[in-house]
Amino acid sequence: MNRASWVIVAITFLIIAALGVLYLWPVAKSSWNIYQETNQTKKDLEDISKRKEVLTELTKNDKLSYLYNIASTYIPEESKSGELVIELTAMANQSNLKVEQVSLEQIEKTQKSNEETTDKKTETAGSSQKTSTTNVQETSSQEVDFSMKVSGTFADFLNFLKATETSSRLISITAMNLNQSNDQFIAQLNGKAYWKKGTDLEKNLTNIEISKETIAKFQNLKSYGTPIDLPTESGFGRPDPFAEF
Amino acid sequence: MVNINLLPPQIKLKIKRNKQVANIFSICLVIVIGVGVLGVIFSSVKATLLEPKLNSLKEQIKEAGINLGTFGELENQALFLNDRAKLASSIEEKRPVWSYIIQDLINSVPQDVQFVSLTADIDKTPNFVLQGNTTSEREIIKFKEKLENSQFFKDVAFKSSSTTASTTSTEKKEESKLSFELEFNLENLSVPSQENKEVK
Repeated sequence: MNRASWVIVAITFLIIAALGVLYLWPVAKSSWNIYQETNQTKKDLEDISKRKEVLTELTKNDKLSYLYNIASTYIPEESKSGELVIELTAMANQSNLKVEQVSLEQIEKTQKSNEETTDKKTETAGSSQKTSTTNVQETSSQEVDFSMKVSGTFADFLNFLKATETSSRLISITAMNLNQSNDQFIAQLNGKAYWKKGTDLEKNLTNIEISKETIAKFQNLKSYGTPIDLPTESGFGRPDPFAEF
Repeated sequence: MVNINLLPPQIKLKIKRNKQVANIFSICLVIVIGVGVLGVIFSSVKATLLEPKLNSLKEQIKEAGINLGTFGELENQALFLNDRAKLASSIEEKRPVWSYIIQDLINSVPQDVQFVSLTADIDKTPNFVLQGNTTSEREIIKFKEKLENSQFFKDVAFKSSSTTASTTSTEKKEESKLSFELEFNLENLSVPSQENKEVK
């Protein structure tokens, strides 16, 4: 090849390189990006369609609201310690046990990056409530610890234990001390109930489908006692609150 | 007929070079045009196929998103239910089923054994401390063996026994009672499966 040929080849190479860098490459790159984005968008659209299908199906499930209410009682969004006391005493009374004592201690376990434990004491109107705040990683539920002393018969106590296992509030008994004294059966129990603010689950297709197991889990729970509904309660106001009632 | 090129060799060489240059130029021109055409094809595919398709899909997603908004409350309820079901299952796995545990314990008690006190704590070892009265050491060991065979208990340990004199109220007669203490641990928190029961 002569010099002129080499010059033509070099110029061609430069033109192709310039075309490639300034025109072909950006066009190809953006086309590839659009192609990938299209695929992702298609997938998102499929997900949305499936979600819509699932949600449309859920609208036909008339039990959903009912189950939601049961689930919010089983593990509520707030400690609802008052309702817990009502439920515990109602369970004991229904099992013919006499409630000698009930006390609560609230333990909060919240998800934080560092593990730390702080103890706080809150004085409220003559009674002291100890609030122990334990921040533990990967724990999002919070606990209300309770202790309870009941008396009655052993058979009734067994019925009470069965009631705690199917009660509308999730209760776990962690320790018990059973004694027979002066012809009376006495049980001292320690346990905890749970609560959790909000949900941890991500809004995706898997997490909005309601399985039969989930429905079954909440269906056979039994509620004890009537929660306080302040507007319907009556009999407030006493001229002398120190007088015997 | 024979063609004889009578041109001088220098001119012949020049013509040959020119032809070669022309050929190379043509090839290079074709390549440049090819690259240009490829660019134009890419651009038109992008402009006429890819972009409109993506825009249409985005529009569909937007519409679907607006429609999904009407299910917001329902979606939150479903999410809440699944969250609580998951949390409840994890707690229930670790929760002792006391009615079964105590029932199994009382099913293991021999006729001549009376409980005085029973302390149970799932966070302490031993999980159970049982104090009771009986008539002989044989009854205590019988009870211990029965508990060992139970599906709920393990590590049953005989801690102590001592004889105490007591008066029965009905006959006003002095009888000797054997006080004892057993310690044991919980093997299963929940009701064991049928398979485990058969193995036991």
